[in-house]
Amino acid sequence: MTLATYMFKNALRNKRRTALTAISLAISLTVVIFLKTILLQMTDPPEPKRPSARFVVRHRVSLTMGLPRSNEQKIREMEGIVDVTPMQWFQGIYKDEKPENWFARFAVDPDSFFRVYDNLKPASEEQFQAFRKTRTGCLVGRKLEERYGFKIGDTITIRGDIFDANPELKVVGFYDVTDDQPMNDWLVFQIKYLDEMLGETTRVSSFFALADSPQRLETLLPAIEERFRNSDAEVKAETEKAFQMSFLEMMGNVTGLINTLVTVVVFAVLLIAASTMALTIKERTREVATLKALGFSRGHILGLVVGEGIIVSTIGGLLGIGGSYVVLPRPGLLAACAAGAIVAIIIGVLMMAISFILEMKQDSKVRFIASKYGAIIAICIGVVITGLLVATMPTLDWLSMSGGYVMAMNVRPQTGLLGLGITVVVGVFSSFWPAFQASRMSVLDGLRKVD
Amino acid sequence: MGQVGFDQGENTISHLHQNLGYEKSSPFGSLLEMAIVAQTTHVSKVYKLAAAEVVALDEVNIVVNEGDFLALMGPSGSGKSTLLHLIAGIDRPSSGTCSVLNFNLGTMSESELAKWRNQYVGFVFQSFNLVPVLSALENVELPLLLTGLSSSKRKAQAKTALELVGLADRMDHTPRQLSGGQQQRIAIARAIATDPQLILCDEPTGNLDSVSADAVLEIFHTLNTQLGKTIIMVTHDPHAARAAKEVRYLEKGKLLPAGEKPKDW
Ligand SMILES: Nc1ncnc2c1ncn2[C@@H]1O[C@H](COP(=O)(O)OP(=O)(O)OP(=O)(O)O)[C@@H](O)[C@H]1O
Ligand SMILES: [Mg+2]
Repeated sequence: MTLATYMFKNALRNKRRTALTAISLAISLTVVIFLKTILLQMTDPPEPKRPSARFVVRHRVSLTMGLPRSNEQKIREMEGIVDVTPMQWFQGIYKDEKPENWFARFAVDPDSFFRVYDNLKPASEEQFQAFRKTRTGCLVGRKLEERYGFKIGDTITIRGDIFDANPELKVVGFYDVTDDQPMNDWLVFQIKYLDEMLGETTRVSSFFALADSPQRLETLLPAIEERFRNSDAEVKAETEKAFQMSFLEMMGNVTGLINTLVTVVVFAVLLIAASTMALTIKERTREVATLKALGFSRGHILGLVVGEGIIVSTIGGLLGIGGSYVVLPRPGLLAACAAGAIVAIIIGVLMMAISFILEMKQDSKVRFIASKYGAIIAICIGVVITGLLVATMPTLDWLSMSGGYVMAMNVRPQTGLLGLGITVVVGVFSSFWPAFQASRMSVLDGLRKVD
Repeated sequence: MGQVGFDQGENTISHLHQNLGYEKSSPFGSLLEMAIVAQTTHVSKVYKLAAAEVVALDEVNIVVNEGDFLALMGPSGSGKSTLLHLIAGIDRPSSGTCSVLNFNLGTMSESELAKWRNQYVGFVFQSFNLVPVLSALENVELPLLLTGLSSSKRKAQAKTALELVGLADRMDHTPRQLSGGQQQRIAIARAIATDPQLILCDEPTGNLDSVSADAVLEIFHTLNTQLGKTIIMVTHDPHAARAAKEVRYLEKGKLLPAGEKPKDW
């Protein structure tokens, strides 16, 4: 045996208590890592592998205000422009409003669209020609083909919400994404068809344009903004990345909010861990006194208790960080786990309440089951629910669930490190005060204490 | 009373010394004269309470020599435990000095006292105070964790101590799986694991039935006569006191002269 073995055995002494502390830390860490990952995805989305010369022109004030279609020609005339395409975010509802039926739908101009999005390729020339020629035709990404099993000739009806129009679209083909951009679950249809349904040449939410080089953007973007200054629709020209981040501004000070939430969560779990540790060490007063009588110094006691705190927090930390790496990129699994955890917590609290109330009434059998097996019953039901949901839920992905704003929820190294940091902080700070008190306690006071 | 395996006595005893591979300087310069193990000079302990002062010990002078087996007796509240705690360095006197194994305890810091206790003093409690999650062997190994012995030496030393108390066959059992008497013998093994010169015990048989108590007393007897350990044992039990070579009485904080008893004893 070593002092470390002794610490481990101490940490596992009250298994239920240690498990509860570890699980609450694990859940808190998952929440923290989830929030931080979302924040990073929004404020610092992953860079495309090669620099893009594509950019966005939109209304200076808000996307919803739209730009006149005549702007297309004016942008096209600018120095350094290769091509421009109008894009209207149609949104609408497919089947129902469930998140799994959510995917991006754009009204586009077929020719210029595929020139500006040079990373998207129609599956074949025939399909591209069919798209150009079919008034109500649409192309869908491979991921949608996979998800819904669309075939050429299928009809897709989208109910309009922003627009007072319900396009009935005919699948005329598919497109492939030739790079790593998450654009394979779009549906694109002819903007001419939208105009027709609305009875006017509609304004568009944005123009996407291609410059002759990524370097050109530095001068081109301000020049475009200048070009439309003092017009009835002043514009903002920005890179695709800046465009994605602009959605964040629409949500207000998300960064501050998320950091506050993270602090609150960490603080709460610290309090839980600290009070548990204080209770644990208090129960061991006699033993601490005995150790001191055997020759353990203040430093030894301090080390033993803080070490135990770190062991408990490390169990929870690894569980939480590891779990986050597995669960966060898979929203279906995350939802299933969250549902399972919530049900387990509710049942657990109910069981606790039952055992408390019945203790007062001294009803025996139910109370016995509730207090002895309550935690296990709660956890089992939670696991079963999670399992059922995983088995029955369709696979979800972040891109479609977030309306295209969150590409993926891969936990980044710095977020994992933050989790480790919180783990250590919780381990040390939750146990330091009880450890300090135990180390200062006099042997006699400790020995006098009756168990 | 023959259940304790002392037949292997000599072997086991030499092992206990051999295994302890770390340097432990003898506190005695020379052993030509009978060495004094513990000595208190004019030691008093006064508790100042809000209502009154409690004099737990009053000018106690006692000398315990090497090889002594002293029983401390006296009525409840007479100061027996207090005196034992002062000698163990887990309490400090209000006045007077305690010199134990040639260390002047009054001049030592708390951490020096802890280290000193670990090396030179074994303490046995009335309630055995074993760590419930550790096996018997691990409990005995606890004080050895502070010695810097290698892991295999620690284990060997702990086993030797367990053999001495006749419980080597129970080394993997946890305290819960042992009787009170067996637990107390494990506690004694823990106290002697670092091969201390001085063993202090506060009512070691207080929680035991008479058969278990006898087993414990026989172990103390062996430790005293064969290993030459000096033992100071606080007890209420006249039968236990008979195991000692000498009995001294405390009454109202005063140490009675050798041979004298409190009036109603
Ligand atoms: N912390 C304390 N505060 C006040 N008084 C104390 C304290 N500790 C001990 N005393 C008093 O000191 C006196 C001696 O106590 P001690 O524990 O040494 O007695 P004892 O002889 O061991 O008794 P017992 O046989 O009951 O264990 C008692 O009167 C006790 O009340
Ligand atoms: Mg006492």
